[in-house]
Amino acid sequence: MSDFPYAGYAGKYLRVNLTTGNIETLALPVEWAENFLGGNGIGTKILWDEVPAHVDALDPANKLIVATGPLCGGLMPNTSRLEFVAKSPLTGIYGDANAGGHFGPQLKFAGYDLIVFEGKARAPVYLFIRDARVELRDAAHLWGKGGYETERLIQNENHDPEIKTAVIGQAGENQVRFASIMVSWSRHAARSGIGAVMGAKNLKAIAVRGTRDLRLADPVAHRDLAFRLHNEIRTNEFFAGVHRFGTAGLVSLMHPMGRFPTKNFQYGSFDGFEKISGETLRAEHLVRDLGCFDCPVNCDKSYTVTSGEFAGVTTSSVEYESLNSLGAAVLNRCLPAVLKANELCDDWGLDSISAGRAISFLFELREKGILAREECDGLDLAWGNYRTLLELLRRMTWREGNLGNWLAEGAARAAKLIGRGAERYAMHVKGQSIPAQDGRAQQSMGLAHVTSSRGADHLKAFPVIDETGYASEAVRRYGAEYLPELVDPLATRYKAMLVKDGEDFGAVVDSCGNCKSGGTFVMAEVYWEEQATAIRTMTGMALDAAQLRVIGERIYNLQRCYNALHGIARADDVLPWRFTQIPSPSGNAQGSVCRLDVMLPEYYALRGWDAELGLPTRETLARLDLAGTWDRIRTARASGAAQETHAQLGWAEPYTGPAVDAL
Amino acid sequence: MSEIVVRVRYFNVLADYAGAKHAAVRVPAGTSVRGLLQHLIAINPERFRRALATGDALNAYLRVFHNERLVARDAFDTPLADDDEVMLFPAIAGG
Amino acid sequence: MIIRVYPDKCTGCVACEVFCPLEQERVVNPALARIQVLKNEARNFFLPIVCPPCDDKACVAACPEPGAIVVVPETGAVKIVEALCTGCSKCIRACAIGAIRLLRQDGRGKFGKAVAIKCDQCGGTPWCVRVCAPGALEYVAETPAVNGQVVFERLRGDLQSAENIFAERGGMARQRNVR
Repeated sequence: MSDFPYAGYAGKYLRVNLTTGNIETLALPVEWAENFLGGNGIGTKILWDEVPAHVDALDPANKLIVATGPLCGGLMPNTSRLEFVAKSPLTGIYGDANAGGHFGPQLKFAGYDLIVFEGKARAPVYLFIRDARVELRDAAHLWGKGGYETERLIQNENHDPEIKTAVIGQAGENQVRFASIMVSWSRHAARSGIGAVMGAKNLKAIAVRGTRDLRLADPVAHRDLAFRLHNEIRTNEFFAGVHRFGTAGLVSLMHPMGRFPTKNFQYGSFDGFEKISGETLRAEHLVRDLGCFDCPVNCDKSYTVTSGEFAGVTTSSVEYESLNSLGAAVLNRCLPAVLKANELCDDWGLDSISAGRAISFLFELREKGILAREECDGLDLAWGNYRTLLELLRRMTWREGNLGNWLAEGAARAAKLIGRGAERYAMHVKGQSIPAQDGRAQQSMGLAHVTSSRGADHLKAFPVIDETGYASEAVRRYGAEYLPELVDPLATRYKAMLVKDGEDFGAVVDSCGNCKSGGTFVMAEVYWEEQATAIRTMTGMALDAAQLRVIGERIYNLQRCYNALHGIARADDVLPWRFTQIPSPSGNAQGSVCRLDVMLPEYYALRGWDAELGLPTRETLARLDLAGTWDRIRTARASGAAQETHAQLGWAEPYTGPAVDAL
Repeated sequence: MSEIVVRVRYFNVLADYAGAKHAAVRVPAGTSVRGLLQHLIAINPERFRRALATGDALNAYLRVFHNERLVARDAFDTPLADDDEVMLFPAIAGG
Repeated sequence: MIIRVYPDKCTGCVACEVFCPLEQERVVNPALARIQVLKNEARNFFLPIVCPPCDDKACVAACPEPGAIVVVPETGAVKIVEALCTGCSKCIRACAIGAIRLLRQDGRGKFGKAVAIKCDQCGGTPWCVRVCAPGALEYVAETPAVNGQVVFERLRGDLQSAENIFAERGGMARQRNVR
């Protein structure tokens, strides 16, 4: 039994030194839990404390934190989420990735809140955990295998199909900079290239089986709350659509919004959207619905292709993002080919967003004549050529040829390697490719991409209530006084508030282990008050909504501070030219540009950040009990170390100069 | 009184409820977006009605695009013209 | 009353395994759940195993301790009386669908070493059914057409045909011991 003062936590964590093979089971520091909750928060804290800015992301000195949170494994709706935190090989700054599925809870039931991996194994290994038994095992026979095969072999050799795994595919082994980690079953911690960190450490997989009890501080009160929220989600107005089609259902909606990035963000609508829509996907390819741990929504589905060129493909987690990046982004109208590409990304361990974005970037370089035919390694880089798409996925995974090596670096780094104006077509923020939103069509998303601590991303702030204007949820969350602007996707008013609040609440959700799609942002039944009550009844920690808000702010500010050590500042909070200078050509967004110039100063002010620097002030950090961090940032900037690190981040700055080609 | 034909497109669960993805709907000239929705409620099965309205009131989360422009809540009285396209979405969100 | 199972609707979310032990054991631990979802996601296979209960009640017949397994009159649920259970495992071996498992834990059962655990329908409002969003579980009154024996036979058939589905994953996850 653990001496940890709070229920709901396992109270222990593992430190695994891959260089020495030493494994320590340590008491979870109480102040970590009290100040940073778990998951995303504790991961950030460890990164801040233990991985200096000068360390390269692929160096053994980088650390990988695999962390659950206090609600993970519990009764609240969808407590599946697991957080991976490390310095990102893609962006060179703070990096994280999050996945659902069933691994996180299993780690908790094994008796560990988190694992910190340090160093680098001499030869490939995997970590095996069965309750108190924790050992590093040889993974020579798994190296070179895809994610699905790796999981099957691990379960088979341990005679237990209930073992849950977190594995890298070949992309992680080959240190593709946007390699993902596959988590049982087929959920993917994909962004920021954390899979490459595992690869660089020679860590092929983590396998866990847990059968220990998790105590609750107030079982009856917690169950009452959790069961009420399960039911509220099941009767929420968003439930039917989200359950039936998952995020894939958004394809159709985003087309008329003008928010469906097409042809490397040249357009915001895709005339072939119905070919790759959630409706078509369900009608033609559905096998069955799948659920993450304790989730009433069951938004995941498995799909299959039964005839034609891609007959035999079986794949799941075919999300809105993948339908965009492997479909519309490259003008691919062939849904079976999208499913094939999705299957390959999952098995080989590629972030389907960054992979598709890198390919659409390359296609545009060819279109604009920056790449000559003889540079294309014999491939036809024509929009819509899905055979080229599939072949490029293979070449990037194995870093084959010119194109494979460029692509494996991600669009933003490839732009720097290629030069010749290629940076104009790398659609990224801080090295991370922009996902399937467009700040011109939804102003809040443009701001969210820019202020995300892990580079361009929608999930940090996840401003879904102005996606198309859901007044009912906006009123529930913020009150009627912010309407109509708050829910108008083209309005800029109140969007800084929406983004800041989303980032803070999202940091808390990602630190606790529940899901942004399962009741906290989509089907927004769980907000500060409910989350605080859930933590209180589960753990016994005296915590109210106001204190929880401070924790959310603390976590998000510390991520910004970590980035500040790498020289990140206001100058990096930019969108590429297309979003701010070229009016959206289509749909509801027609004529609109993203008004960062309006929203960003407002955002800094709300955050208590210096308007010139775009960094937290000393007072703000003191208010968040992060006083010491300010001195470290000041020293790093004054000595020039921060700027020096920034110069080595490796990606081309987003192009913000004069418009180069109006459409 | 003359009539117009509006091209209606149902998405997500609304297509399931209506049993069709498209419909060419004939309504009197001058019909507003609201009028069209009331007409659609009348001609479709009960569960379609439940997705669109509570009692006589249209649900706040219903998303309507008129010629690919999102119709604001205070613009439901906008009149439709012949051959206009109306896209109808239930509440969905998430990415 | 019986718990009816629709394996085709199961998504493997295991909400049933999460809420069950809280009612039964006052902790969260799916390994202790009286319902176990067998899964091989690669084959799109999910099978929730729970005592319907059946008509034959081979577990009751196999139990050597008088009164250690009883039928609850109000619900018809088959319940293990922990104070009388010796943990001998005879009922566990008698159940053809593996709906009973042995929990070895100090202080448990008649001898303070182990106890057989199984579903007792939570006294009439089974939590597994209450939280099953996809509708794979249903709590219904028995009828001549749909009774516990029919549900039981179907689960037994599904289990038999599933052996090969689990071969590639190291065997069936039907562990008779909880830990």
